Amino acid sequence: MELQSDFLHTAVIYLGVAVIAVPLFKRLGLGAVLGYMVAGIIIGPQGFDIVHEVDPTLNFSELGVVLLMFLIGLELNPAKLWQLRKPIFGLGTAQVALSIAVLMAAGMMMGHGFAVACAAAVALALSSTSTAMQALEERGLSNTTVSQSSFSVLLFQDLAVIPILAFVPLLGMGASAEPTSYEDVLKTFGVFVGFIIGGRYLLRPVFRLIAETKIRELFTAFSLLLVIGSGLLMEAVDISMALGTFLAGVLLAESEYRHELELNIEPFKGLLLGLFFMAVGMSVDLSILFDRPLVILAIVAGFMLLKGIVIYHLGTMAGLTRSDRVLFALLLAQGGEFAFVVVALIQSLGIVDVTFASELVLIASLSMFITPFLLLLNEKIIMPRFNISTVQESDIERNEGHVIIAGYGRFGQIAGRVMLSRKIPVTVIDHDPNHIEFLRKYDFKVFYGDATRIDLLESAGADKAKLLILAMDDQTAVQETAAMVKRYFPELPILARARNRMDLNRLKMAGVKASRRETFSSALEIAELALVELGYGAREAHQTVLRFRHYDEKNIAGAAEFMEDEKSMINYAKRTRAQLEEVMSSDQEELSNSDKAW
Amino acid sequence: MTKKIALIYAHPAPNKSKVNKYLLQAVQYAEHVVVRDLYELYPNMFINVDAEQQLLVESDVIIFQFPIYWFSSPAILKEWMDRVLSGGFAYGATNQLAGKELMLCVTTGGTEDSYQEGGRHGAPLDVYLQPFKQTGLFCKMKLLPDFIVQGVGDMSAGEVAIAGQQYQKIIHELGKGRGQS
Ligand SMILES: Cc1cc2nc3c(=O)[nH]c(=O)nc-3n(C[C@H](O)[C@H](O)[C@H](O)COP(=O)(O)O)c2cc1C
Repeated sequence: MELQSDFLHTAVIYLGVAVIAVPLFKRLGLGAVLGYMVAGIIIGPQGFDIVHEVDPTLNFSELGVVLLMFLIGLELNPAKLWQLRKPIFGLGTAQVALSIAVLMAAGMMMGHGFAVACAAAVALALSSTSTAMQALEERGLSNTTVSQSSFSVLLFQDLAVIPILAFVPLLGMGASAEPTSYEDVLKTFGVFVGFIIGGRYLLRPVFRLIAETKIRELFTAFSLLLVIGSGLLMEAVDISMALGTFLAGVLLAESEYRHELELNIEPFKGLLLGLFFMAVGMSVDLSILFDRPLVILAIVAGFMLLKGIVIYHLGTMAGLTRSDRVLFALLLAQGGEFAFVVVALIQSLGIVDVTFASELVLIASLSMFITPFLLLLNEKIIMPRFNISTVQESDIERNEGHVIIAGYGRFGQIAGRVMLSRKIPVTVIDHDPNHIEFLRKYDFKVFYGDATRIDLLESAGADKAKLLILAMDDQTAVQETAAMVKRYFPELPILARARNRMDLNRLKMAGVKASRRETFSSALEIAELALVELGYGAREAHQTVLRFRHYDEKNIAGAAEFMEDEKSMINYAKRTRAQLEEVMSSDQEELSNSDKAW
Repeated sequence: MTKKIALIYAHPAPNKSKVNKYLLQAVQYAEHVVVRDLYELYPNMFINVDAEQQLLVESDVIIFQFPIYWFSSPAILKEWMDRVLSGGFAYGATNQLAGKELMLCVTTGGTEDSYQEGGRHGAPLDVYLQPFKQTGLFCKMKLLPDFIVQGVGDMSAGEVAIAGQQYQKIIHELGKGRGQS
């Protein structure tokens, strides 16, 4: 009982500070990562010392990183990964090699010996996957070019950990690295083959079996088992767990259970990553910082500056725009969780002493800690210089009677191009810096940022615009923005992109003039082509689809009143489907052969 | 030199046609005939004006083939005329249709005798075909004799076949440049 209540105490403490700190930090615009870290500092030995034992937490929560890697893998199927091979190996190698070289030179200039400088440089050259990816995700930048470049580099670093861990011991007493035997290679190879075959042929039946039991938690359990199991299996053949689960993710990216897996793992990943960041916060040895604050801060600054410069220049190689290069550098300039691993290793090998080791850990942690601040700084101060500064009052004044398009991805672009073909002035709001700089080249008026922010809409001229098109990918954002715009600019008509049938009614209630489902029209076009393919006349196919559209839209409008009640909603849907079939077939008689009647 | 024929075909439902489909089949494979099945090509009524005009320029004879719908043609033929026969192309100083020949191939549900004053259709069919003929004349085209099939409702398969053969023969003769006059 004693033990158990102890565990619960700790859990309550962790959960409690997280629930307080994270929303607070998000509110302040500092991001969840920082929130977790600060929460960690507060409850850790440096803070109120509520939790004394950091290492177990850190070890346990590294599972969060492992789950993160698995989820990243799930997003990438082998084909996509193959496409990324150049940035992974080009950018990745360059980043690791150059960073190590530069940092090592700096270390030796500070008077450290070759081995020490080299080991420290290796530890700090690797960046923090969790910090960078989480930051990208939080900002909705997951699908941008910077994100892809960052990811490539991070992935290479994960790969590089294997040789690094094998190579670092050589720095010490010249201990010979274990020569890889044929047997090991064979074992590794065997595991991979087993994985691919298992993923292809075994997993599906197992998943189906489990799905058939209809016990949800069993599915979750199996998902976790799969991830952790594959991690351990990979570890058994000397591949890091993170990399192993990543590969497992890639191999499963094409299975039809991908989404289920994602849904099941996601919450665990979130919680464990949070725990991980808290552990990082707790493990920061602040006493060193307080002893020699200036020296340490100078080292951190110098380290991040050097590494940042290297990465910034690599950004050119990756073909990133200037503002993206800054973001790229800031995302990856910090030290990462692998620093802890490498430091632990070099300390145990006696390459560095305890003080220097804890200094290194502190530097890495501080750099992770600073990253969210830097990103915020970048967003608030540096980014605007690239993007918004050219749009001054004069621009906005000319912007009158224009159309504002919020979200200029695949959807918004089409609408925008039609407007432009008619020389209708268009102002674009988007939060992908890549879209932005591209559009600038074509003399678009572009605003960088989040369309859900009313001040941004205001500076885009929402009060003088003729029309607002909400074309963002994120449906929640579309609906929130619609409601907000109706409050602040009630005169401005809104057209919106919807995802599904329910959205249509929700958007209507929010005051949107008209909305369209993003894939509806093209799906109807495919249906029309299908009918033609099946031998219907082109005209009849077209009419059929138009009629279908008409009745479907009518039914949706009719469903508005059941919106909150799932049961009557389903009933209604069933009823209307039967009606639809009836109506569609009776309409077919429109051109009946009644020649004799003439 | 064989004459080239542009057959502008307007029937909304190929699967439901009794006569027109058959007539079309009888002539569409002739080498000098290019068929433009308007409802197949433009199910949403958006007509490719350039392509249509190009074809007309290359042709010597233009045929409008359609069933009578409400004392006129099916809607798409009117849309075709409105958009393709534009000023500067079909009329005016730079008329490119002048001297070409126009022929109407028309089917009706009503019988020939219902098409007269006092009959169910109130006037001879030719009255209803006037807008099409005048269009040709306005564009300085020469009119060829019509090919008419009436009383479709009562036609037997054999009769439809015979109509097809006649149509085929006329189109064949037209190609040789010796159409009946
Ligand atoms: C919408 C519609 C309107 C029609 N209007 C007329 C008409 O005004 N006069 C007439 O004689 N027949 C009329 N008909 C009959 C068609 O002319 C007749 O079905 C057609 O010529 C038969 O040709 P098909 O077998 O190729 O369809 C009409 C038919 C339809 C479907």
